[in-house]
Amino acid sequence: MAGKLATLKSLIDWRQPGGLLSAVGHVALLVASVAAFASSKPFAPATEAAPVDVISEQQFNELTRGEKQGVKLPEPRVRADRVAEIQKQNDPGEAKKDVPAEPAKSEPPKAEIEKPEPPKQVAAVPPVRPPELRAVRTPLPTPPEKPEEPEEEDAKAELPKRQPPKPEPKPEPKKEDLTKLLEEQKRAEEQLKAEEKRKADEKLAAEKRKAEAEKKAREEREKRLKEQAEAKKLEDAIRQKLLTSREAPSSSGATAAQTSQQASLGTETATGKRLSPSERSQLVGLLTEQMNRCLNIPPGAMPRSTPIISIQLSRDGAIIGGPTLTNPRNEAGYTPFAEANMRALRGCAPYRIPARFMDSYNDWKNLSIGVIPPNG
Amino acid sequence: MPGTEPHTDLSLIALFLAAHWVVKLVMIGLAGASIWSWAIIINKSIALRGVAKRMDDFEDQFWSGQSLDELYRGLMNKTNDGFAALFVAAMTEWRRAFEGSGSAFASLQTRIDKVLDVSISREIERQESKLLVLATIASVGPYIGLFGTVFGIMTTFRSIAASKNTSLAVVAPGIAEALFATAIALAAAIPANIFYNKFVRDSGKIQGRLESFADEFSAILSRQIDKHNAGDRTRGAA
Repeated sequence: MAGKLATLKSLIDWRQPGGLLSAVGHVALLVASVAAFASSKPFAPATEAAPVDVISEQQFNELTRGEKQGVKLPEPRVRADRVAEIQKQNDPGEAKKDVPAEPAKSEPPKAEIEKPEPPKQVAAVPPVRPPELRAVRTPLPTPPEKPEEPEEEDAKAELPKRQPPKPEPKPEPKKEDLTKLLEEQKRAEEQLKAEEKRKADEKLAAEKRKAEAEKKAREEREKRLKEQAEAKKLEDAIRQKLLTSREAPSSSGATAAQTSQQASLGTETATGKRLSPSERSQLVGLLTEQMNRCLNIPPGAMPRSTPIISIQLSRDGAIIGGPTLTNPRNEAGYTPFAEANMRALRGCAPYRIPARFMDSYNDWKNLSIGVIPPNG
Repeated sequence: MPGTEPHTDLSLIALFLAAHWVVKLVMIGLAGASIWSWAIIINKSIALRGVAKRMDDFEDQFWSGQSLDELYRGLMNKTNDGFAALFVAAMTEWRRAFEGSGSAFASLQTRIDKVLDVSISREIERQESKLLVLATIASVGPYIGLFGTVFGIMTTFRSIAASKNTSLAVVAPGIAEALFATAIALAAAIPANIFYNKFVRDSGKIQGRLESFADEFSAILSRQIDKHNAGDRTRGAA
């Protein structure tokens, strides 16, 4: 209390003016800072650039279009190619399998222990052979035919050919030439002998080579056969495994609780392909050409402005709505001219429409035709 | 500025009024601490300057060859500080020894030293009073401001979570108001710290001067005591 009094006294003591000065200074500072921070300068707004792709209305319709002829189910479903696996993750420490709790004895036992039924769709789908299995079946490598044997035969057949040709029958020797002939015969015999010896050597060497080649070929054949047998064994094992495996056929489609092949539905009235301007003028030209056969303009009905008649056409060219005049006017001769045209349109129906316009039917289903007056 | 932001008024008063009451309390406390510390700073600097000046004046008087008794008579009935306080205390003790019987001379030197020591410590205590407040504000102020800031940001984030809007315009005023608490704390703590250091050094200097003066004065008195004792003995021998 005394300290507080002293502090209060010190506030008005002229020798200790600190408290007063400090308070005044702080108030001044506060006022100054309030004035200085009265308004904060906002940042210049930064504009962000966002990439924009411009698509036409037609493209948008193409995007949003669904299947027009789809059957509408009573309940909409998401398209799913296969049934989703249900993965149950038990808490750590719990048993991996769910063991049904013992039923209370007072209650009837079967209410709780009912097992979840396996999804029906899976059972109904016949097991499809996986593509791997199909692939394995076809390309069994055929064992190569034995190419060596005919060659062997050929070699045998060749052997007699190599033998020296038979000596020609000897001509009758004359007496004076006898010695000469003898000498000649001797030389010839010697030559023949040498030749025979050489040929025999050659034959021996050839036989040796042939035996070696045969041995090599046999070894190779044996090796190949062994390899083939091993490959076949492996294939058999794989096939056996695939046949006995009970895995469901795998596919990577969308998953859901049930399979559903229903595509998303589109509307009949959604626009599909559109007519190009030239195609549209072609179609209108076709229609007016056909219509002109029935046209009978009353005399004097020659307006200046062009009546525009709108009709609804079916796919086969019949008029299913209209024709109606979209721009009625109070002009002399206008209404008779327009009515004559409408009569003609009605009279010449149905119109022949080429097949190339069929896929853009939604665009020309409601058609407006401007009938230009002959002198207009 | 379009009025889409929740707080269009960003002046200091608006910031203060928008703050949480805890933050408000912190801000008010820190503003009070700032006022107090500046009051102490102003008073202390005036007082220290006055003490130094009076000490200089007294020193001039003391060494001017004036009689000590005369000087004592002049100072006796005033409130003294610095050298004058020491001088008066020592002279009072000296004169008390003369007023009583002669036997009081025996340990006069010791008593004078004790009295001088006590006066020095009293002077120092007077000079260093309230410096502790400055030290506390300097050291704890930023923490208090930080507490206010953290609390303000906390409430800001809570209101962001409640409004489910993370745009900066929602976040900014709360954070600005929270940071305001730290700004006040720093504004209070920085001068407090600077002047605390200055005052500690100044009072240390004064303490040194007081001690050296006490030694000198004690030496002078000791010479007088010895002279007096010698006189007594010669008188006793005669």
